[in-house]
Amino acid sequence: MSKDTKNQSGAAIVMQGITKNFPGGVIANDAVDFELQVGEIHGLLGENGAGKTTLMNILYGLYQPDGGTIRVFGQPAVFGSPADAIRSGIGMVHQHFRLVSDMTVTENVVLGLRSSKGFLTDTSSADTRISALAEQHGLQVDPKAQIWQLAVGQRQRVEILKALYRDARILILDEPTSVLAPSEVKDFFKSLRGLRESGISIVLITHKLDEVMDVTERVTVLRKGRKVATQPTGSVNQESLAHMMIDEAIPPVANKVTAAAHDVVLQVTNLRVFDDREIEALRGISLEVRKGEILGIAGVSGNGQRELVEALVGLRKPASGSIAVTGRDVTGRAPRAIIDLGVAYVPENRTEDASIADFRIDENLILKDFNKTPVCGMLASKIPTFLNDREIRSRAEQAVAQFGIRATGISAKARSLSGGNLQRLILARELSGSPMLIVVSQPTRGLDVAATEYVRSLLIQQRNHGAAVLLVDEDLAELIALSDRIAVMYKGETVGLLEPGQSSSEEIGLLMTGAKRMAAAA
Amino acid sequence: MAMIVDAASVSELIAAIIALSVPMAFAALGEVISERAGVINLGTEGVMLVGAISAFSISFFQHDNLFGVLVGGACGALMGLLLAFVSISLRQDQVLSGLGIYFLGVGLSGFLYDIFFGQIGSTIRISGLPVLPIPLLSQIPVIGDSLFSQDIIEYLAFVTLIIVIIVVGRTTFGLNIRAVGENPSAADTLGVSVTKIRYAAVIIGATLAGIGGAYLALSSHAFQAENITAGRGFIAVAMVYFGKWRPARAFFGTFLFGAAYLLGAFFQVVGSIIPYYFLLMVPYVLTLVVLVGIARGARPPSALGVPYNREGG
Amino acid sequence: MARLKVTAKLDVSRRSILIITFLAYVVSPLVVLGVLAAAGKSPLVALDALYRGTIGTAAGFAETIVQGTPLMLMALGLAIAYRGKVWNIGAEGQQIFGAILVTWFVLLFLKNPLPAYVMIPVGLLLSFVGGALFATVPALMKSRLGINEIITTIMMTYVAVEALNWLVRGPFQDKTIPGSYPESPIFPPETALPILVRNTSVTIGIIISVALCILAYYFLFKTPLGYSIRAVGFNPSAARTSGIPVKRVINSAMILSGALAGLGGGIYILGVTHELLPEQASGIGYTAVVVSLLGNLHPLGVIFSSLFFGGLVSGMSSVERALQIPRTLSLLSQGIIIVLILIIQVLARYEIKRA
Repeated sequence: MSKDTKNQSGAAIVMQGITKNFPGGVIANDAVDFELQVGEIHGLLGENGAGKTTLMNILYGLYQPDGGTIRVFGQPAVFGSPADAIRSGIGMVHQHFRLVSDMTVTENVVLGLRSSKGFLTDTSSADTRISALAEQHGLQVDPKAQIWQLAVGQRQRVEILKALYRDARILILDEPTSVLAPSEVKDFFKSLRGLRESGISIVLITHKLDEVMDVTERVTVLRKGRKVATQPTGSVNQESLAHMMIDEAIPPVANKVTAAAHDVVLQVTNLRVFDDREIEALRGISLEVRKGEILGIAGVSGNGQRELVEALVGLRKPASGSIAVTGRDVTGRAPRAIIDLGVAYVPENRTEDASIADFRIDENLILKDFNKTPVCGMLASKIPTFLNDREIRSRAEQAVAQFGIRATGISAKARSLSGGNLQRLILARELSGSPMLIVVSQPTRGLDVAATEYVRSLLIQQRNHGAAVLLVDEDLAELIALSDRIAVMYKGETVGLLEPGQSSSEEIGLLMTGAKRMAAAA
Repeated sequence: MAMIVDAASVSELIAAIIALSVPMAFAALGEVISERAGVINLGTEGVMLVGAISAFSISFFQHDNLFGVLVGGACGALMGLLLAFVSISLRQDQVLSGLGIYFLGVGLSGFLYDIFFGQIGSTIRISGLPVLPIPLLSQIPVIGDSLFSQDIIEYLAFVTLIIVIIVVGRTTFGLNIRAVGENPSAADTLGVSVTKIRYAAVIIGATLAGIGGAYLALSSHAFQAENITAGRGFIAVAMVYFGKWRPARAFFGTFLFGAAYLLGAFFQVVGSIIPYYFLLMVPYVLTLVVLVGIARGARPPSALGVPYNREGG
Repeated sequence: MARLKVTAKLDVSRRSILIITFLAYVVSPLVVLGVLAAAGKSPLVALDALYRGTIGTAAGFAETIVQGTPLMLMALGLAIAYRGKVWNIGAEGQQIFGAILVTWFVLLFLKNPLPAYVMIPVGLLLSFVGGALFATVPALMKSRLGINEIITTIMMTYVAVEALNWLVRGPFQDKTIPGSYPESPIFPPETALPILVRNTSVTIGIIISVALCILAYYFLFKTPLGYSIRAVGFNPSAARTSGIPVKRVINSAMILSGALAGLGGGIYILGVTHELLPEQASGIGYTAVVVSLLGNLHPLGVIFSSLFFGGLVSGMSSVERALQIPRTLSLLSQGIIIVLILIIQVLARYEIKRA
């Protein structure tokens, strides 16, 4: 087995000319070269959609490249599936963990491996070996615990143990710190360095510049599917990296009129909400959003943001507390009632929650008001009759023009739209009624630079025209750029409320870990 | 309803319940395996019908009942293969493909019956399976005559239950099945072939359903082409919900229904004011009631019914 | 095992669907004729018999319509429900219950029937209502409790069949004739649907069915409720997020399909059998499932697929007689044709490649 590192200093992985196309014309990787030295921590840097994860998924055998070659420890390799990659000593920890929630740690770790007892699973010897490995690398976790019982940081350890258990010599980590709080990141990097000492070569996929500077020896920058450069970390800094990652720096958001003290549009008081696991996700949270302001919600994902958003738009019934929109109580009411009050919602999952793939563009645009005038004819102003095709068509044509939706026509199915154009479609629908309150989550996730710019400017525009915006965003830089005030959420509570100008990202980061709390957080 | 109960004998009652339940029990065990792996087989009824007609035919023409059961299982496996192909490889909606299997089973079994037996005017009868009493244990009063004096397939049902429990809970194959049904991408990432495991689970499930159908034909001694399964396949699927995807619970849940089927025949003999046909409704109404009763608590395998696509299509 | 990649074609134009469907309908009987030829039967004789049995003669054409009409309504209801991904498999039970309710009404007025212009509309209305009521239980079980509607509608069908068996041997039984026959009294002539073509069983049922199909087209594609049924069928999560009352839509789809099935049963009993028989449970409700799929779940498509199916039944009987082939072979041929059409339809919508 080519797991023995013959050349102690040499290439662990050599990828040359890797190209990968996806249906719809997306070129995820365009003749990318990548090289991982033995015993190094190599950062793979790029914006959302630059192609980092795709490249590593190819290395791990999840995707097959359309062109290019791979060599592992000098041997040419073709990976038809992860099983092949694993056999060559490659392990991958994905951004979204691939763990079976009601199986134990041990069961998750030994999944897919031959048992020493033939047909029967051999949990006791596996337990022992896992504990030993965990001890050795500082990744302690209880092998008998079931995954759903574990905290996020511990689940990540399980993912790493899965790879180590299989004698991985190469470890690919995809955005591992996206689920960790800043203090947990420190410990995590310590473990990484420890792993490197044991001779394991590591690829760290990230979009965070400070992490690259902190823990990597070399860094490769991808942009729009192409490799921009590979440099020793010592010879770059955050500015030069940022410059390599994007064409232009994020322009300061223009036209941001200062928010005066206007009326409160959204008032949330002592809201308690349970999640699907019957665990309290929101513990008495209170906040308010005023007319003409953007309130950003900062926080590591999984601290109640999703439940907050769902409660606000009527998809989840709060256990107690109240939500009021322009003074009207909407606690626990159905989405219809809330929409009728002028609330717009731009969900984070575009294809699942915000659009219907098999409906046409014009059909998607009337999703919220298909049984009201003018889209629908009415009898005695109360009873909906027939859909008004002419009205629907003209609305669609207008939206396509105004919001720049690139498609083959208004009869194109939503399925055929790219991410950016789909988001434009959704925004066209949600924003065209001049909504009073806009609840928006991860608005620019997965979008290219032009679409990202456009979405941001739209949100600012709405704000300037008096809309109240509640913005949940994992992209802290974007959040800081767009928000007038930021509420930091940690474990279902607001632990801080501040203005972006007044605090540093470090301070926000500390609040996000619960290491610090602000006095009056309401 | 081919078994008449002697009102006085509890032991015969138990024996009858077991005999009536075993077909459903096999099908339910099979469906547990299939659903734990993430694939629902709504066409179980059709598979049972095909198992029934093939076993019946073999029994009639070859006078070999055990071989008939084997063939019934094999036919079930073939239908499972078809379902697996359409649901897994072609990624068609499992509801539609299950329905297709159901209609195919109904059509095939009716067609084959017509071909083999259509010309014969009267009801065809076959001999059943011989009873094999377990020495000593079968002497125990009351239950000895029933629980320990069954035919070989009935014993096999209980043995299968034990095997299924062990396989699902304690073998690597069972581990793979559970993983593939809960989080297929987790399994895929570790090199478990989601496709192969699901194919295996579906085929095994359908084989068991075929055996169940085969036994139904053999224990009924006569074949009513139109309605021999009378919804048992669907009830078996409902039992998997009822049993919360646990083999033993689903298995014994079907015994509840065996008892329900028995009521009709029992009261027909005893004579009661409740019309016979109302009693025939009991298993179906009971299924509805049971489904309502457990609806709130049930949590199916997370990937049940969702075709797996590695590239996230 | 070779890995197959199945992807939905991005833009399947309506025109190509129509063309492919049309070709499928035409090609598949020819395939069967080819099979028969291979079995030594003259394809020309077969073709001639097929033609005469379907549209070539007045009797054949009438039979096509008689066979197709009850199917049309049931398949229409199912098409609507399936668009909402509400898998109603209980059209059989719903049509039986519709027929039962009509029978109850007719038996009330057996001695003194009201005039036809009362009996017929009320009777049909009752069958419509009966089907709707029968579908309400599975509807609520699905929308409120998330219980799989396939199992529940099938269970309800078994209940309906037993109820039918009981009624024709008990309360509804015709006690005036000697012997004990499981059938109701013959319905008075005031309840018979007016005949359209002399000496046939072609009634206004066909007009009602076609009219409802056309109405259903507008319903499904031009009204808010139809839109919401389609939205929920495609993506219930997005529908819910946009304020569509998903539970109410599911209920509507199920109950509407039950009502149409019930009406189909009513038309069958008032137009063809004129009494309640155990044969009301003919399995037509299950055939309707296939017919609605053959019609692409489209109200106008259902018109054609149900008439096609009626023709298939009628034509194959004619072929059976002309070629002296056994009934089973004819049934098998029907099955082959159905499967072929379904496969062709799937192939038209999807690309299947080796990955």
